[in-house]
Amino acid sequence: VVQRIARRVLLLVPVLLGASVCTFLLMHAAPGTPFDGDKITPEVRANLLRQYGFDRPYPEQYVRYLGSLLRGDLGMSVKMTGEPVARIIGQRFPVSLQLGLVAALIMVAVGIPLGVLGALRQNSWVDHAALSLALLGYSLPIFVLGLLLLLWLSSGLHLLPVGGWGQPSQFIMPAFALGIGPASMIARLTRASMLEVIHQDFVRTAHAKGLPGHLVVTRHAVRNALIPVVTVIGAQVGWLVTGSFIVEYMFSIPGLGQMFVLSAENLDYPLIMGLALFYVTIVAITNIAVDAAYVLANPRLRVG
Amino acid sequence: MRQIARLCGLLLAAGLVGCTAPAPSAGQTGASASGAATPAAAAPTTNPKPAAAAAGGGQRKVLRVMQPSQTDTLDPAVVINPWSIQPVEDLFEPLTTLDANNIIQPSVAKSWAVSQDGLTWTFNLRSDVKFSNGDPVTARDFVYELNRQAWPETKSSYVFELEVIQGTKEVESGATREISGVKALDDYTLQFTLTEPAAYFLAMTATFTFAPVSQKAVEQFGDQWATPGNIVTNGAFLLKSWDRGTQIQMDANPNFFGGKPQIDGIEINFVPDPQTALLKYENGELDVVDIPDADFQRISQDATLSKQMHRSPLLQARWIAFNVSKPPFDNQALREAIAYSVDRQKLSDLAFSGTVEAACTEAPPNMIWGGKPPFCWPAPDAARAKQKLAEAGYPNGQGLPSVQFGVRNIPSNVRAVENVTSQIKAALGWEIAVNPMTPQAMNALRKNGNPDKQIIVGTWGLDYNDPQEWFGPLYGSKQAFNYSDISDPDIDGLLKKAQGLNDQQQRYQIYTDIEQIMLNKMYVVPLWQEAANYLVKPNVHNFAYSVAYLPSLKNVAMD
Repeated sequence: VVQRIARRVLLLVPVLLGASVCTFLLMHAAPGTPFDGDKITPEVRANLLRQYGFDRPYPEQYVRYLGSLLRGDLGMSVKMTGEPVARIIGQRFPVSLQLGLVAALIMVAVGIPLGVLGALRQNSWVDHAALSLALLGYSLPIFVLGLLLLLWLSSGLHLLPVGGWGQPSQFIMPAFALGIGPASMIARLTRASMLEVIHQDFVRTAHAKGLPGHLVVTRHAVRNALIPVVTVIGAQVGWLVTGSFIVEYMFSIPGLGQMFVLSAENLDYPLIMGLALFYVTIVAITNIAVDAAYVLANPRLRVG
Repeated sequence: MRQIARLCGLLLAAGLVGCTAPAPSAGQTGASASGAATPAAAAPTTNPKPAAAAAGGGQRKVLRVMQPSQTDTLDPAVVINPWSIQPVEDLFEPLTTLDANNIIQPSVAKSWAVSQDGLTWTFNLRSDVKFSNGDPVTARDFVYELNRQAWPETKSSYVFELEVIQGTKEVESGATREISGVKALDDYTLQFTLTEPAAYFLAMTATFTFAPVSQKAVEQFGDQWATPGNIVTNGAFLLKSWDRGTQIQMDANPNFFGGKPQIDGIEINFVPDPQTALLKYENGELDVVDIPDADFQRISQDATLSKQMHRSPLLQARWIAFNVSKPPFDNQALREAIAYSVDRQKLSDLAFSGTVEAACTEAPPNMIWGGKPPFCWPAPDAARAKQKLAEAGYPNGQGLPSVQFGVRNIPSNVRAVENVTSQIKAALGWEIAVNPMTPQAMNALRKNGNPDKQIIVGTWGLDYNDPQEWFGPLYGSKQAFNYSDISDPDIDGLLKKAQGLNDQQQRYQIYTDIEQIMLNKMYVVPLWQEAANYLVKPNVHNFAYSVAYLPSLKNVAMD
């Protein structure tokens, strides 16, 4: 098991290399430079490019970047003067992480019970209600949901502050807006998976040997039905904790999602590179963790 | 390239691993499910960091404003966008300042004089100005800051504005370290030597480029000098905190040489979504807010909010720039035909719902005419338009070429050009294609001398209030921003004459004459002037935009 995970972790190196080459090429393929103000003169622009080393041939720039990366240096932001990229990520990621984890909690706490309930009462009004709710949650775009929340809870009822970051009360709306879509997806997935499992032989056996209904559900059906769900939850968590631009934009949250867009708008080369590599690492680690959990949980996967 | 593609494929695969892993159908996965849920369950106990600031509790009068983007830097030498310039102007006080009527007034400099030849400017500084660390502000602090801006390693974007000072270019190129044209004659006398007579130089001294910076602070803290705890300033407000993602807080400077501000502090909130910002204002979380275009009509009709609406026309204009050096628009009668077809009021009403000012002249009227332009471009007149079209050699529109109207791909601007072209079509029957372009493509097309350019939206805005900054770069022959490719000896002569004059009234008259030539030759057709539309709570007084584009906060008072 350890060997298997170690191999996956080692694979991260070529993945990161590939990601860095792709990002590097894409950002330099974008027209313009970080210094394209309306009035800036060609001489001043040339000096700025030279000072940052952006006038060098691309291969040389890339190798230099890789060199400092190996020394653990992600470079300095071009637009946020005096701010190292590592510090920007260090300040922004915890914000997105906290928000993403609360949203993930909502996803699991709402999605799974709703799905299980729907499957157990298949085609009853409970099932229909759960399914409709999930469909609504899944198809409502974040920017509509977010705006509705702001209008009802802040503007209408004056219960919560309009966006911002720092107080627990400022968590509620964005986490809900972020988590409700994935929760709906998990609910539908759990329901489908449950329906498949409760019609299988081992469940019938459990019923036949006289096990009480609620134990059959919790011990046998739900555990097995959640296997495919866990995979999706893992991928979703990776996505949630790296920050959503729309939610951060609407609720004025200083997370990574806003940084992504801002860095691309500004063509802040070192920041774009640093964020892309960080994102790839987080997603890869999440996936490795999900796979590891799988292997641990399923003896059949431990061989080979 | 193939290797790159493969690497990219690998990357993609990494993202998909989670989905492609085999899904086991049985086993003790209860453990893994609860395992996945654990970090989430732990989340509520990880307390968010304590609130940076709840808005002014108790008796403190703190003005809460917003800006749509974060502040990137507080170092006056490297700021480039308004979201950094606003706080820098609150923190630093330059040589001179603008009053409410946009007249230059003494600030750190108590008086100044210019030599007969217009080349030497001498400023006498107040001796009671202090930095926030208690050090006196002397002429040497200005010299240091101007030199520092020109040093290549400072990476200043605005340094070209200093090039009118003798010796700046030598420092920019790295040949020397000190601008020869800036000298501290003694602690309180600062002297500039210019490369040519430049009356607009005085207006420049009211900008953050001419603010003093403490050499001690910069040398002690390096690139971290402009952060809370390290920064040393001389302005009306002191930096209290700066959370890069959310807000800046400032306290009134009790020792400000211009007198302590009437409010106790400022809070600049970064609110990217204009709708959210408006909700914050309506919810009482902001004292001032920009009005999103989409809400302009609703707010204008709202009984309460409409009383809190304010508008400041900005020194930013948009106009039709013809390429007057190439057919078809080298034909003055054709340009006049277009001028008579455009209804600017209709444009402002229909394309902008009234959020901008319908232009009457090409230059903003509040630049030198106190808001009242001396004359106007002609009012729309379909009959005259047709007549001019025939004069131009296209009777009833026969033989009109197909042309492309270039515009930046900003939705409101594209909408405006569509409105203009439909007006031209209605008047002349001439169908002009609209060509929305990226900023980079537009920068390349509009460049002076580019033969591909036919007709575009000209755009310009001022960083400091002086007409030279407007007419010089836009209409001097061969100037980079002379989008219309105008090469008019009369204009060139007037520009040169105005530059050497120190009498403001005489200078303004010359610039008015240039504007008159622009009209007589119909080099351009004005379209609209940008305006700031914002809401201010009734308990806030003296909140006003400086003429350029930013509010000046040091005179604000609150009930």
